[in-house]
Amino acid sequence: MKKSDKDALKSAFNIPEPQQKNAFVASYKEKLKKNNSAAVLPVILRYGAVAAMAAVAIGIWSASALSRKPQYDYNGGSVVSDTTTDTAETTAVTEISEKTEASSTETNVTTAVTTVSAESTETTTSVQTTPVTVVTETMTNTTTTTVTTDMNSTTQTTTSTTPTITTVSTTVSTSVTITVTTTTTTETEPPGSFYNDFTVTPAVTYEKTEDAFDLRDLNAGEVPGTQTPLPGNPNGEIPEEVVKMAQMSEYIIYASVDEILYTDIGGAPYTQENLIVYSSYKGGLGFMDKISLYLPGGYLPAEKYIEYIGYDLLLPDNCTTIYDNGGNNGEQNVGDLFVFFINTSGKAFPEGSFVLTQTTDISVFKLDNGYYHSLGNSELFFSEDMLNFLY
Amino acid sequence: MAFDIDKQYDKIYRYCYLRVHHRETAEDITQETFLRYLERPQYHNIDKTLHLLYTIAGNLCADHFRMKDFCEIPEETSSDENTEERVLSEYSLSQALERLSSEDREIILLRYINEVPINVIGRLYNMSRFSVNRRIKKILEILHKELGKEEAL
Repeated sequence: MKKSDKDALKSAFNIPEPQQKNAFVASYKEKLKKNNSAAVLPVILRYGAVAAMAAVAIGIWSASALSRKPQYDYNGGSVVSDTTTDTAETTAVTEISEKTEASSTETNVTTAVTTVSAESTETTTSVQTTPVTVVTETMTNTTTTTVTTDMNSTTQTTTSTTPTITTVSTTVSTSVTITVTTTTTTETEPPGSFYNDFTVTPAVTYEKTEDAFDLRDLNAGEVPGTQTPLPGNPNGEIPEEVVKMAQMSEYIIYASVDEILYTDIGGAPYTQENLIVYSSYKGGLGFMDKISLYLPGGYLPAEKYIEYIGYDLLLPDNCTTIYDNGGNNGEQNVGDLFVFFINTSGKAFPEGSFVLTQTTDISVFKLDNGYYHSLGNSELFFSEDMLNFLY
Repeated sequence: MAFDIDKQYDKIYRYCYLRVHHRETAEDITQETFLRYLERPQYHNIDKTLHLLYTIAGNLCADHFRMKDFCEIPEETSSDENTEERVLSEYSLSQALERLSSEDREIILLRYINEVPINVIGRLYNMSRFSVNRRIKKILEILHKELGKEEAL
């Protein structure tokens, strides 16, 4: 249809022009604008919700990714991959401390290299997260937890070591920003030293007292644990007993006694010696590796010992502590150097610790005039040269 | 859907006027139609806008007749009649349109004055597009016949 025909048709309908059009159209457009502006809020909320969900998803993914990271690379040394912590309360802060792993590790490395006598390094790391992340919900209460962790491991490496005790203090708040404060105290060895710290922390320690009652006084003339003298052979071949002991041993080390702790294993008195390895003749321990060795005997509160043996003892009235030599004959003090014939410990002992191959200090040898003499049996000895042919 | 309110206002108004034959009532219904449309944002898309507008307008017109008890509303006359020739021509066409049924007049207005698409007209009157085309063709033939009679007279 032509335009002229349409116009004619339009005229033929005789429809008068509207008179209120302009006013209505103006008011309609105003209402339309208000409706559109009102519709912006739902749109903002919709996209805001999407962004929030994305942030939550990223937060959860980051938390899980961080929690999968490996153990600390301690002071730039070998990774302690089999580190175990035997106290239950450390579990609560493990996740947080791992979150700060990157920064704290970096700080440790710097300290170890540049500061010989550095005693402490304090690092504050702010981690920003959304209030609905798993981490925030887990730490709803404001808590301050101090955890002392001694890293220990059964991993054996030959990397040189520096002993370290790490104190981790974690503060978590419920605000949007989580502040994690990590305090690291490092006892540094000379620069350039690297080490594996395999020491363990005993569940309980007891004090050594000067007035401790020596249980050997109860059995005068019969010293428990005294071994039958074995013939030494300083001028001939390596004693057969030593060869057998070497074959039975997983590790033969020349180490110094760094620390002596008195504890108990199943109620029985035991001594934990933390050793620093200087030479390794068998096994994978390396120079400056630090280990924990358990020897029978030690200091124990009298009531604990009575409880352990199950019957009363005739102890002096003022006796509060007893001393049990555990069948050992020799004396070991902090700073002494010995050759130790040792094995990894059994289940009764803290995981990662070591025990003497023949239980008592027969397996411990002290250098004297070019010969290593057994502490448990002075007749058992071998020359310094023989040490290199023990395995 | 953002439509041109200036254009659509005129079209809906014509549609309403054709039904109610009263300018003020047609304008009231037209304005009510747009206000009701504004309250239904879920239908604001390009396909359904025209259909919705004409449906609302048609329903409002029907409501108006129910309220008035089918009272006869005096028909207004256009004041735009100046030349004799034009008056005669439009008169003839107006007469021809008057002889059509109300629905046929609406269809012609919708299609040629308001330029409503065939498919929308089909939805408004529950017809297929082909039926609408055939219906429009038939109406035009009737108009031509009526105009031929007028010319013959």
